[in-house]
Amino acid sequence: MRSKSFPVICLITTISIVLILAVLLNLSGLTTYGVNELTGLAKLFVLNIPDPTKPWSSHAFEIVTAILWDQRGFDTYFETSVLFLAIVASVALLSSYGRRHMPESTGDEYTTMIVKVITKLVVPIIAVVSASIAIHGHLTPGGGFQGGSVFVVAPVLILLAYGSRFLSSRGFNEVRLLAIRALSVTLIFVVGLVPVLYFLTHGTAYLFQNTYKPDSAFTYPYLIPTPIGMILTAGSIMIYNILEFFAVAAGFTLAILLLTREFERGGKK
Amino acid sequence: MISLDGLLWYYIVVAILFTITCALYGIATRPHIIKKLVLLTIISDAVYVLLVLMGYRIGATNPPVVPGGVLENPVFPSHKTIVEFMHRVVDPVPQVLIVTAIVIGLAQFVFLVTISMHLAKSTGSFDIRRIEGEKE
Repeated sequence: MRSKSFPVICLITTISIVLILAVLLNLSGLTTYGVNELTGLAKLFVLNIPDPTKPWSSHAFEIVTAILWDQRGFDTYFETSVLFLAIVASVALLSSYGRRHMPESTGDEYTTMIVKVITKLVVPIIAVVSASIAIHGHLTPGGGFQGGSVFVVAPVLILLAYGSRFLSSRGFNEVRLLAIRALSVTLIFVVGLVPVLYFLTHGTAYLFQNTYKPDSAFTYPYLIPTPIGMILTAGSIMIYNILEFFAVAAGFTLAILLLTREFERGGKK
Repeated sequence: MISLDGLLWYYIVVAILFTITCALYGIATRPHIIKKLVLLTIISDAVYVLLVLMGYRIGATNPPVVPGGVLENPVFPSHKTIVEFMHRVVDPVPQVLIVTAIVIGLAQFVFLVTISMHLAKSTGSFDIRRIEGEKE
């Protein structure tokens, strides 16, 4: 049983935790006002990534995405796997296998004409903007994670306005979405594994390597000649961004589709 | 003498720490699971803002994106441009940390919502006290 003094104890504990956190942050110089120099690590990244004459260059204009997929690409791969496992755990708990004849809602009970028309207008815009964020991830602020997260707003709107049957009847069922998700994560790892094949047959190369390094000649093409001019792909960063876009978009669409179905079933067991 | 910029800085830090305190207190004392989840998102967002704030530098006016990036026929910046750019850019490292943290936080939130929904379906309540049998 909780005593009467429980909230007071909680309050004192939380305030002391936060004060200790504040003192620690201040002592380590992270939030002290008055810093106008970048740290050594940040200087290294900012000087090397956009400069093609430097040996550690990524040939990308966006430093955040370049660090994410080039300098610490292996780490990001496992973060993608954590995301995948969280989605798989949700699907395992929510999966509707064995009760396929459940009635699916068309959304008519809880939406009006206004919501449906606005959804029809807004969804294509969201899809195009999110694809643009993902494809230009190495040039402007954005990337695969951000583009995928923006895209998920479109399925949420569709599910709220038209119900879950609208998505299921147009091929966005859970099997296909989970397949897209798993295929994207696998392809990300395959793209990262190509340098290892080069290492086994030709010479030195590193796992998740992007462009050439001082002791390694392996490089993904970062400027591709096409009839409309040289297209900048920044090595493998553009491929990773597009695959990550599909992975995040399909994963969250799947989770939200299953949650909406449970919501439509109501409190029935 | 502290400048207006500095006062604003300390105001934001105090506001974030206050938000974290309130959210922690709420997670500990509120008995409703949905309220706990809402407070959990509030605390994680406060931490993300704190991390972005750590990357700020005095006089920084640029995000960590080199201007002039285009898809067709790009012109890479010269070394001189990049050194000049380095003096007015914010720190990119904390931003890299939170990019994946946000998406993973969202995935964990979906998982927590799923578990709470199953709990509520099997026990008939979102109230922790009722689930534990302390209150009828």
